[in-house]
Amino acid sequence: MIDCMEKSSLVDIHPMGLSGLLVTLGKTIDPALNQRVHALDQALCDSAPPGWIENIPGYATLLVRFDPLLVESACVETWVRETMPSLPAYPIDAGRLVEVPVVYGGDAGPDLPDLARRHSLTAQQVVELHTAPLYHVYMMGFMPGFAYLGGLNLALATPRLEKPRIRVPAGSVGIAGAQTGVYPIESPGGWNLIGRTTLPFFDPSAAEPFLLRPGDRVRFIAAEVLDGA
Amino acid sequence: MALEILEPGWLASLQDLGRPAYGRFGLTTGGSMDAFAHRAANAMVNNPPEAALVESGPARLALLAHCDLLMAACGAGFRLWVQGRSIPLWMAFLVRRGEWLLLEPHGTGTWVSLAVYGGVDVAVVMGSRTTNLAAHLGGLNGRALQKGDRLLCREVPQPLRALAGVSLPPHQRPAYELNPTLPVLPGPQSQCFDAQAWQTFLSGEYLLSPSSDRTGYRLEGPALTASAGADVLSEGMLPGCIQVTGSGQLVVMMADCPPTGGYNKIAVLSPAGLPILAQCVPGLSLVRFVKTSPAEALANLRAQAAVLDKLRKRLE
Repeated sequence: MIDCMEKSSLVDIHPMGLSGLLVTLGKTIDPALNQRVHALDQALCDSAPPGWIENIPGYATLLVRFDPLLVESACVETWVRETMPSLPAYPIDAGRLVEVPVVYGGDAGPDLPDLARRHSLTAQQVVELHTAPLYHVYMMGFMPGFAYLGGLNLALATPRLEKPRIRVPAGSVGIAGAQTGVYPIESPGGWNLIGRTTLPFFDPSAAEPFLLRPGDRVRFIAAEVLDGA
Repeated sequence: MALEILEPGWLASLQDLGRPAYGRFGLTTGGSMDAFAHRAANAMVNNPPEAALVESGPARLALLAHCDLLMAACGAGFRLWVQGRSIPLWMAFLVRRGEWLLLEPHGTGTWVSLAVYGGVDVAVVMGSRTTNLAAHLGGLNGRALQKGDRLLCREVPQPLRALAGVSLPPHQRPAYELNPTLPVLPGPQSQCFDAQAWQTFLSGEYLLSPSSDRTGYRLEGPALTASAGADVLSEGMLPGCIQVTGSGQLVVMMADCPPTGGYNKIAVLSPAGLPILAQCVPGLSLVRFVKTSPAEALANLRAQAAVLDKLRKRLE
């Protein structure tokens, strides 16, 4: 109970122009805090008033977008404030578990050998370290279908490539700094590529165009580790 | 039944009001840069607001009509010729089969919305016909228009030809100007900027950078320093947000604004001011900001909506 009150006192609601309210639940990258963002998101989606457009979860924030010609900002704020205390306890494993099979090394992961060498690991050890954690989708952004994943073993943290590639194929699995992620579409990019998945992370023609949602959990499965890696 | 592109304009693409509700997945809403011009052009040809139209930046856009069409061009910075006849912007007009139409840069402004009765017929992708150029999604094959493209559209029915001549007088349009003063509301990180930074922001004059695009308008002028560092944890954002980058420069997020970002947002443009900024001229326009209140910003937005409502009702 006390815990709950302390948490709600940290909540800050600030307008973002006329058509947004930014609800800030904290200032850190923390799975438990982020789960509260998703709990609030879910509760608001389930009770949305006319004029509501969408919610956009961040690491520690939720942006509530609405049409100011259809609903007053004050009403949206009241709705958000009234929803907060009734949030259910949101277990850390509430999101769906999505397994992503990856071919590591070879042409699929051209940077795997260098990355392994840099950390004095074998390619096999890199793959083991990368497939061990249950990653958490904090939020999505940067490009359609791109998930900001938490949970990378810091033994694998690696600076971006000095020379970004002009074309990184869709499905490429990479590491940049302390983050790992999957390129949902072909794009330029500077991440160290260690593998590739054939699962479509973004398919506009599918009934559900996005493989992942904010709040999901992700596990990478080694489908294959290619020789020479 | 088609409209053929003879000259492709600049970054011309099919646009509607955008592809909402996918922000949580990282997908941009998008839509027309000048949403007022978009809505007005559609209203003049009896289309619903969300009908797809051609939006082009400042370069010659020429088209050939393969059937009789009811059209309207709204925006700023262009003049319009139909088969050699001069036709004003902000007015519905008829184009007969075999006639050509030319929009050429002229005067102050950057974007034109060219609507055709019935809307441009193109597949709906994820709830919208808008072209998302970055994700190669929607519109015509997810790309900008090219010479030779044929846009499917409908011949105008006889009774609707009478709409030709319907127009919107200048005083009912947004107050487009080369060097506007734009009203802003304090942004979510407004308090990361001290009184002196705010003073600089509100007294400074900012040149619209030539490296501006549909995603963001970059401004060159006095740098702003946040008292607490340039970054916040990535969070949602929307068009009109004024981000302050690490070097203290301002970027106003426009129609193709990504749904999330990690720079401090000192302020957010009053929505009624977005079309006015959109029509500013990169490399020329000098922009200033002035504080406004939510009540005033809402009143201005309602006034714009009322003009469009009236235009639509007059046609019914």
